[in-house]
Formats: sequence, C-alpha cells, structure tokens
Amino acid sequence: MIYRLIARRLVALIPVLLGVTLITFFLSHVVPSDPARLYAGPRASPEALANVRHQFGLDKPLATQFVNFVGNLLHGDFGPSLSSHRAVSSDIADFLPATIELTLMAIAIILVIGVPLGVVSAAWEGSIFDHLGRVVSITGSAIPPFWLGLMAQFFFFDQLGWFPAGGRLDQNTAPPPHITGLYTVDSLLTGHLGLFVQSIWYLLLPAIVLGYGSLAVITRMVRASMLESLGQDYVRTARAKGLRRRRVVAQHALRNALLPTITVMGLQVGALLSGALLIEEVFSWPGIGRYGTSATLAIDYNAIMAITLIAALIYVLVNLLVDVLYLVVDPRVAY
Amino acid sequence: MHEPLSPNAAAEGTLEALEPAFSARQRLLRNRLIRIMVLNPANLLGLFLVLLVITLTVVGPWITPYNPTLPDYTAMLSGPSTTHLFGTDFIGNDLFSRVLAGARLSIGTAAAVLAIASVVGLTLGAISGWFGGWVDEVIMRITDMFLAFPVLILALAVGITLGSGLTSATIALAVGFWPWYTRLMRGQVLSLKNREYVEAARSLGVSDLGIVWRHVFPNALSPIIVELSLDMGYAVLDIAALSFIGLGAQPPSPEWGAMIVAGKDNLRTAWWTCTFPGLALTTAVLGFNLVGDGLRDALDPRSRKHA
Repeated sequence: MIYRLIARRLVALIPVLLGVTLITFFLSHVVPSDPARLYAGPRASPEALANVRHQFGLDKPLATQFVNFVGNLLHGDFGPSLSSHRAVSSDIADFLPATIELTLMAIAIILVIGVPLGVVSAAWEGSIFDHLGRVVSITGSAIPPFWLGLMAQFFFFDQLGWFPAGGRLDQNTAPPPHITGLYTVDSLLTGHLGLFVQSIWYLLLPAIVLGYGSLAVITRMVRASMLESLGQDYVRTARAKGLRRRRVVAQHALRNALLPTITVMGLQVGALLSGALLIEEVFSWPGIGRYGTSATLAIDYNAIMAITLIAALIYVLVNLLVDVLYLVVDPRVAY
Repeated sequence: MHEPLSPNAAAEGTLEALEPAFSARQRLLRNRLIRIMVLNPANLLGLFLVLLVITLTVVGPWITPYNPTLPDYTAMLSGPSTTHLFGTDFIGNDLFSRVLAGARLSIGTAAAVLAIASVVGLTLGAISGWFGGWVDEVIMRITDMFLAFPVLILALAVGITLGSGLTSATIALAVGFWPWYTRLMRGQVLSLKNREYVEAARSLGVSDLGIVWRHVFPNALSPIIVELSLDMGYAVLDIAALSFIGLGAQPPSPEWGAMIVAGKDNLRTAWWTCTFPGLALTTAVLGFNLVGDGLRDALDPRSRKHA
C-alpha cells in the first residue's frame, strides 16, 4: 500500500525533474546570445570560437543539444569548469560534503532549539520563553543572513575570540581520513576525538547563522500548531481525565503539532541551500555555496548550472522524503 | 478598465445586489483592518517602519547631507560623528547619505520585482483557474517546474545569463517569485468562479475578461495584498543577497547589499561600514514583515510557506 504510494510519487517526480533540466538547459544554451563566446571568453578569435562551438556541439540543432545535455547529465558530466579548469563534477564531489555537513548541523540546531522553544512559548503564553520565541521569530525573518554572519564574526571572533573566523578546521590541522567527507563523522569513525571537537567548534557559528532564519520559521510554526492542538477536544478530554498538564502538552498536543512542522522543515531546506550561497562565502566554508559565489564572479556557466540542478534535485528529493515520512507518521493522510 | 457591455442597467443593479453585500462586507473588513493594525503594537511598529522607509525613499534625494557617490579623500573611514552621522567608507563617502540613497534602490527594485512577478503570475493563475482543462494542466506543470528550485538559486542561474546589474537582478528574482502568484490566483479563481454572482454575470453576457476583472479579482484581492506585503520583505532581502553574491548592484552603487560587500573588508577596523546598511535592511524588512503579518491576521487567516 505505502510502497505503491511512494512509487506513484516517484513517477510524478519525473516530469518535474525533466522540467528542471529543461529550464537549466534553456538558461545555459538558449538565453545567452552566444554561449560559445561565454565559454571562449570575450577576446577569442573567430577560429577559436568555431572550435569551441564544435567541441561542445553548439553547432548542432537545439533538440540534439538538449539530448546531449541530458545524456551528459545522466553520466554525471557537467562539463569543464572555467574557474578551476577541472571537471565540474569533481569540483562538486569535493565541495558538496562540506555543504551537507553545514546544512545538517543547521537543521539539528533548528530542531533542537526551535521545537522546544515553540512548545514552551505555546504552553506558557506570555512567559519569558514566549517573549524570547517572539524575538527570534521576528528578527529571524528580517535580518539579512550574510550580514548576520559578518556581525557574528565581528563579535565572536574579532572582539571576544570565542569562535574561529571561518574554515572547517584550523589551518595547521590535517583533516580526518576521507570516508564520507563530513569531518565530524569521519573523525568519529576513525577515533580522532580531538578532531571531532574541533570540527564541531568550527561548525557552530556558521551553522547557527545559516539556520537562524529557518529557526524563526520553525519556532513560529510549532508555537502556532501547538496553540491550535492545545485547543482541541482531545486535549480537553485528557485534562478532564485528570492527566497532568505537562503530560498532555508533551504527549497529546505535541505529537499532532509536530506533523505540519515536518512539512515546513522540508520546505526550509530550500532556504538553507540558498543561504549556504551567502554564509559559506562569509565564513570561508569550502562548500558548493562558496564554489557558487566564486563561479558567479568568474561567470563560470557550467558550475552555476550544475549547482542549480543539484540544489533543485536535493530540494525535490527532500520534500518527497518529507511527504513519505508524513505518510508513515500520520496514518490519517491519504494521498 | 472599461465597463463591460451589459444588456441593461437594471440587470447590472441586480448583479450588484447578488454580490454578498459587498460594500457592507468591505466596511466591516476595513474596520477590522484598522482595529488590528492600530491596536496591536507590533503591527503599529511595522506600519511606522514601512511609512518611514517609504518616506525616506521618496524624499531621500532632498535630505541627503552629502553626495552619496562623491568621495571625500580627506575623511576616509572616519567613525560616526556629528559631521558624518554614520561615518564614512574606505574612500570617504558619507554613509548616512548612502544609506538614504540606498532606500530608493532597494525598495524600488523590490517593488519592481513584485510588480513583474504579480502581473505575470496573477494573469497566468487567472487563465489557469478560469479555463481549466489542458490550459490549466500546462500552466500548472510549468509552475511546478519553477517551484522545484530554491528561489535565490534560480535567481542566480537566471542572473548569470543576464549579467550583473539591478535590472537583470530584478528579472532574475521575478522569475523566482511569479509561480507563487499563479498558484494563489488559480486557487482564488477556482473557489470564486462558481459563485452565484459570477454565474449571474455570465448569464447576462458579460465577457470572461469582464467577469474576472470586475467580479473575481476584487474578491480575491485580500490574499493577494497579504502575499505582496510579505513578499516585499523577501524581495528586499533577496536583492541585497544577489548584490552580495556579485550579481545585482555593483559597488560603488549605494544599494544596501552592495554597501555591505564594499564594507566587509574594513569591518574589523571600521565596524560602521557594514553595520548601518545592514541595520537599514533589517529595519525595512522588519517593517514589511510586521505589516504583512498584521494584514494576514486581518484579511486572510490561512498561513503560507515560503522557501
């Protein structure tokens, strides 16, 4: 039953993915007046231009170009990078784990702080936690994340010296052996406890800054849905039965309030991926966000299109996962 | 918009009567709106901030104490003082003047983004909802494709094909924002198109365009206004973000995001270079968000999600 639903969702994914590819193709092959000139650079000779055009198949009809484009994508081939002079796919392979680690840390912080804060501010309306929750949710969606990053760096590194300025590890420290590419996981797997602590230390500030905007959304969301479920009949029944308020909040209300939160968290992954573009630059975090900003400055087409495609792919898959999770957690939902 | 051709004036009168006490409802809504916006301190603060930002956007050029792009090389990186309220940047531009001038760029560009996105999105949504069938199917599939991208990343991909500058940043962000309006308008049209007053208008021979424009659109206005005011904050932030990445406005433009980029290398020794443009950004976005929340509470209790 549930497998059939998942299969149906996977099939529905195909046109979306095809569409995403089509838009990316359109942006890289059709919109620019002459993609070959972008590859070859502004001062290329006509012969060099013709050469590039032939080399990348840009002299073929658009339909053929699209088929080639999709074929290359299926092989994981995004073409050469103009800024690093390597294959974009190997750049991405190098930079993606850092972004995944940063994003996962941000999600962990959002859930560990946001959910309890939302619950407490709903259960004790008007308390100090409620006010704190309100401050977080109002400032979180108003402060520009890159500016927050610069300010955090200024205070916590320049002024107080509590956190490092950026990077994944101290410059003189060798990273743990490569297994997953996530320094925290790799250092634990290989038993380098000192490295683990250090990598968490370097992760904290950028992850908090990256997650702050979504933390605001989640806190607000949990608070609102807690308030709603606390007003439901089953909560009143549970209280009338003589159950303690604390238990009713934690068990009856929270369980139902968390459901919409899962969906919102899935949607926030889009915001986190966008945010990584800005935050990684601020904290010299060697992930695909920072790769993206340097590719932007170098007008490195292939790199940008690869990042765009991968971000959309991650975003779509995460939300599929969220829908499936919802299905598992809440049997009332029928798709 | 011209009056649609109607068979006779009396029938038009009946039509007005059929719309669910439209004027009375509007009055009720207006009273509720005023009450919610003025009595809630957060909304009142938002209203104040938005009015402040808009006023500065309009009168900015007349009250800037210095030329925002004329450096004074004798006063580079001087701190906030009575002569330079927000200090000066690394070539001696007065930051207070630049922040004021930036309001016009940030707010103006964000408004342009939403103008393009909403006109395109609402039109497509109305077509989709009104005609249904394969037209609806095609438009909604295209909308889904665009919604599969995180907004800022799609804007980056579009922006890099169009080149840097505020105009291309405007188009790039509009490409990211329009699908939300298509979805919104489609939903509104679907829920309104079978109402009695719409059927009455149709039976009187009012054209499709006439019905959508005169009877559906006005009734769908509240959620559109809520969406616009909430998106204004996002648009202001995203414009600054594009400038920060290197698309969008380029230094020495006094756009707030570009000012933060220009100041970030001097942040350690001259904190004011980044701080004031960032505070201006935060203030403006805060204002639009608070007003948007207030309007939503007043007009449209359903919440929405934005990625």
